Amino acid sequence: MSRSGAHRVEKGGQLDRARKVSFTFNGRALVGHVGDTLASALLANGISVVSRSFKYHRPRGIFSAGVEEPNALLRVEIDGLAVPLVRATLQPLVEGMVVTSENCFPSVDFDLGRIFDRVHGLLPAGFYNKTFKWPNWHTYEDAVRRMAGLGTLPTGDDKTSFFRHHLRCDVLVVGAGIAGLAAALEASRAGAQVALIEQDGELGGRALHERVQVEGRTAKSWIDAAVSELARAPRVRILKRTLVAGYYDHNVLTALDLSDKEHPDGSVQRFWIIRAREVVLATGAIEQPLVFAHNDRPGIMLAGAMRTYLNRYGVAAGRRAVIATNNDDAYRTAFDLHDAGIEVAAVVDARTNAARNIEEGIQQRGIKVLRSSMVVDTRGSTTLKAVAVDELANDGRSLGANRVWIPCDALAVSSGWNPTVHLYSQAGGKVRYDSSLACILPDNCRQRVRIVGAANAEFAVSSAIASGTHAGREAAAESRPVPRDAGREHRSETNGIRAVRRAPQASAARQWVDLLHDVTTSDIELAVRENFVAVEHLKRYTTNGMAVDQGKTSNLNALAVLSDLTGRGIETLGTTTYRPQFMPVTFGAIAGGATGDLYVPPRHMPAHRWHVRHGAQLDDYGGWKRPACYLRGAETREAAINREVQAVRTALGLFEGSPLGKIEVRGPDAARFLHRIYMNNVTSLQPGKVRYGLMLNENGIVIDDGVFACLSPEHYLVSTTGANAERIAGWLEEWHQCEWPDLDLVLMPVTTQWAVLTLAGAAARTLLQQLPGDIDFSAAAFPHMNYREGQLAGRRARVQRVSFTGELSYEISVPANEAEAFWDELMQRGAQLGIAPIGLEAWLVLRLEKGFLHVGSDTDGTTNPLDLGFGAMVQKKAGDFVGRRSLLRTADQETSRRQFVGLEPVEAGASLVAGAHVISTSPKRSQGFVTSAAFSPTLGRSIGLGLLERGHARIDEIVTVFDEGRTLQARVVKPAFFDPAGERMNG
Amino acid sequence: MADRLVEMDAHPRRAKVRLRIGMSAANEAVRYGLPGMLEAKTSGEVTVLSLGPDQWLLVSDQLSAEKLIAMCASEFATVRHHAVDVSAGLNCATVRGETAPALLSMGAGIDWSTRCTRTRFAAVPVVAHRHHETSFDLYYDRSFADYLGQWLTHALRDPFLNR
Repeated sequence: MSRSGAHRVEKGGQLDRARKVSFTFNGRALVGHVGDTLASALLANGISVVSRSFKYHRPRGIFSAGVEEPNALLRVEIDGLAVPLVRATLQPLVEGMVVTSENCFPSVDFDLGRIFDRVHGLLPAGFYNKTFKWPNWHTYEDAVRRMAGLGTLPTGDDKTSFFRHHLRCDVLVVGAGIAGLAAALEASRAGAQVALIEQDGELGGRALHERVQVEGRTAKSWIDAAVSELARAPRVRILKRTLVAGYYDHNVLTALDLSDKEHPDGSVQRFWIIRAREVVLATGAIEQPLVFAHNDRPGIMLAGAMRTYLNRYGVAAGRRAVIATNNDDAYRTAFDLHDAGIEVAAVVDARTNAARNIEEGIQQRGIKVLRSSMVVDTRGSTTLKAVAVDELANDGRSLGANRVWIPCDALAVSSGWNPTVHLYSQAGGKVRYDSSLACILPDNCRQRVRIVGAANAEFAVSSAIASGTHAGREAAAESRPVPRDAGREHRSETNGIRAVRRAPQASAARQWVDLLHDVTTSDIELAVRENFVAVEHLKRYTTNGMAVDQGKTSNLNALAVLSDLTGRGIETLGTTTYRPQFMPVTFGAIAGGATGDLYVPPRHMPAHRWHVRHGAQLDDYGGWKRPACYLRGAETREAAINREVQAVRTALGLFEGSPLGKIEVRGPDAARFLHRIYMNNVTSLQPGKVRYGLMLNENGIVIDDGVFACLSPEHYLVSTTGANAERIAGWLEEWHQCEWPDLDLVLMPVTTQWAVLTLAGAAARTLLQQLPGDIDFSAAAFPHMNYREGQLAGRRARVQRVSFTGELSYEISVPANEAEAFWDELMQRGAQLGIAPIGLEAWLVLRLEKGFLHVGSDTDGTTNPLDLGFGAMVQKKAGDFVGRRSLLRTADQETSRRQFVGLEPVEAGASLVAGAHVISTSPKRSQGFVTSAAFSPTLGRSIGLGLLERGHARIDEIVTVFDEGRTLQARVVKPAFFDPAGERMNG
Repeated sequence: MADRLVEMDAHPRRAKVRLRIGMSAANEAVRYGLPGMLEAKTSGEVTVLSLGPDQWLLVSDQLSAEKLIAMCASEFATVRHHAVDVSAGLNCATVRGETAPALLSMGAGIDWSTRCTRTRFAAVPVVAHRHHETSFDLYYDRSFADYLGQWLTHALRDPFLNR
């Protein structure tokens, strides 16, 4: 038989003793076994101090064997990534893992921070609020923040792969203890689709390591049979080592799956989002400690945990143990330790007697029991040396005079088990304190959730099976009402608890309530003296329950102490709110794979691959990856943009505008519908014609612009800006479906069906006339603002002669899957005409030179068409349109509003910057701002557009432009800087 | 197995036509033989997928989009409708195999036993058509093809799919 560590017992446990696992703890090489947790391996190796406490830097040892652990939160490095605050009680031992203690310097055994313990009298709860305020908190903030907190963030490259999964099921069972297994079995047998989720790597819950009988056989045999049946069931999914951390409305739960955290191909964390018709919570219970002086020393452990380490991991927490309890359950620890050959010095029971079967066990083993007594103090430093026991008076509030010191190196404590109602509470369930059971019970919930087993204070195995079975059956049968306090009838065993949790205080020695946050009973006394007597106030004043463990072993004791101090029953105090997450969940897991390139879906245009092959500098524009410019050789970005602008002005440019929104509107009322939507006249548009239009919202604010074409009297094609394509499609649907359902038409977005390749430049017509097809591109046959469709270079094409650049320009739409070939053909045929691919930046400079509006850049959430100089268009519009009424308001017609103008620097060589403010000097305030600005290669100077108060009346005025401390003088001009008469695009 | 689970552009020649019927007639769609909400229907060489109360997607590997549009014109001659060719704008990915439902469940929390549904899969709008328990077609906007391919490549690395 192989043993790793001095505290490993000769036999027993559920380890693979043949396989050893090496690891280091604070630089010390240690060995454990496959099947160990980090905590069990540390205990087996006799490690008593694993960490230092948060505030007083007191030495702390392993306290529990589960999720509730307040002490053993360690830094664990696996494969080069060190993760802080890992619960050693849940972390399986991994070969080569490097483990270090947190919150200590230079070492966990000799920590300079211990000085805070020596001066603890200066550091009561909330001391920082009372002391760090002269001259103000910020004087101390930096130093305090450096000392505060636990652990440091990992700095290494996180190679963990994160995945998100969704799961739907009829019945979700959380927790695979006896009750959970019974529920899953019954629901499965009834034909339901069942998901069973267990935080441990093994199914069976506490029964796995308890010496109990289940339905007449050993627990292991019963569990094996249940697991085997569930594994064979076709509609059952079992997730192990998966922790359900959040419970939300509509029975949506979230869970962190660590089953592949140590996967040989790399660490994996999985985040599950579960939607369940019915939920059965079999989340068990968490044992609560007792409160007495110096109850935080290494060697003190929850009684159930001590049993777990012995029975599951073959580890003795000590060589001579004392058991302190106020209930029957802790006697199991005494019996198991005794039967494993470990000396039980005494059981200290706050009660006068235990249940009959317990008494028989005591007699059989000859264990010494000190009745009506409590542990009142301890001795030791890095290990436990002895405990003091005193008699308890009948009222439970005072001690006798016979204090006895009992030498021991382990103390098991228990003040009973408290149901794990966290998820139930998160679900919206009400909880209440039950004074007879001395624990917090689930009461009722508005969601379809049942809670069974120890989570409902059904602590006996028979009760757990009965309630689990009943809940599984009911949950599988649809729409059965969920009864209030569903498991009440199954509670047959109460552990005989006496609700004395705190030893009467005989000295000034501190009694810990919250081990992790170093909250003591004196802190609670102080809070009560200062009238923080509501549980939520108490929590925030003392920080009890606010640490990483969220008070899983401290909240109930804090309530008990508060109850003692105020004389109010616990049941009247209420509880603090349980919120997600039940246990810390990494942000990476929540994000799933949605990081880096997968953070937001980028869209690629149909000719994307051509752009990439030809030096395109891709940027994000409204969700699309588009070429900002195309670099040639060592060209700078600015040089490329200028070259592209000049190519369009002097020869020919080809630009991909495929993201442009395209919506077909068809039906006899199509024109009438669009007439109401657009600020412009639509009904007068003839087939084959195109018109520029503005869309306003109900407040008269410009939301989009673009052209619309009349394909036939009942068929229109609406173009929107690329970034607004989906929004405007939804906008049109809303008006049609909600406001004007009587209009007979059909809307059809076709944005990505068609790629848009735009030829711009004086040579555009020449190139198109060289292509085979049936569209007549002559100036006379195809004038500006016209639409044609037909065959072009062997493909179906829709062509609009419109211009965003001020040049002769054709927007050619071809089916998206033919775009790349068509682009390539245009580039090849256009080579002799000096064609160049044009990026979006040059495109925007070209439109800026022309003074064309770019909605979103040149407008904001206050800009109406009157501000933009479209007043005449509004006047000419016949009939109503969305936003018209708002434009009639005096405020919308004020000439003092910010109006659309052009700006050019007075001084040669000066540059305007978008975002710069136009300011008045006296008083100094903003009168507007530059909305777009760029260097115009055509004009050889900086130009800009802006929104300026009374702008239309200030043409030729010199204004002051302010940008980041710098000012320049600029002249207000009309927006069109280049070819204001439009001769080039109309030619 | 995982790398054969997905084919991103499985039917490049498949014709796809989006049909929309005027709201007043949409309620009677079933009378015209169109599948109801969340349903799909295959008749001869054409499969019709329900996209919403007044919208359908017609797909065919044998017939051209023009032919499908002509069929709509004939079938719905008396009904306000509009049918457009969307073959170039929509790609079709196939997801097939025992782990297909698990893979798809990574992208969306919907009930994948539904015959046909529109949803956001991995943040991308898709039309999902279930042929049977382990065989699905996903119709998605071609502009998302590269992203979706990357997303699926990442998802397929999850060892859970190979358990």
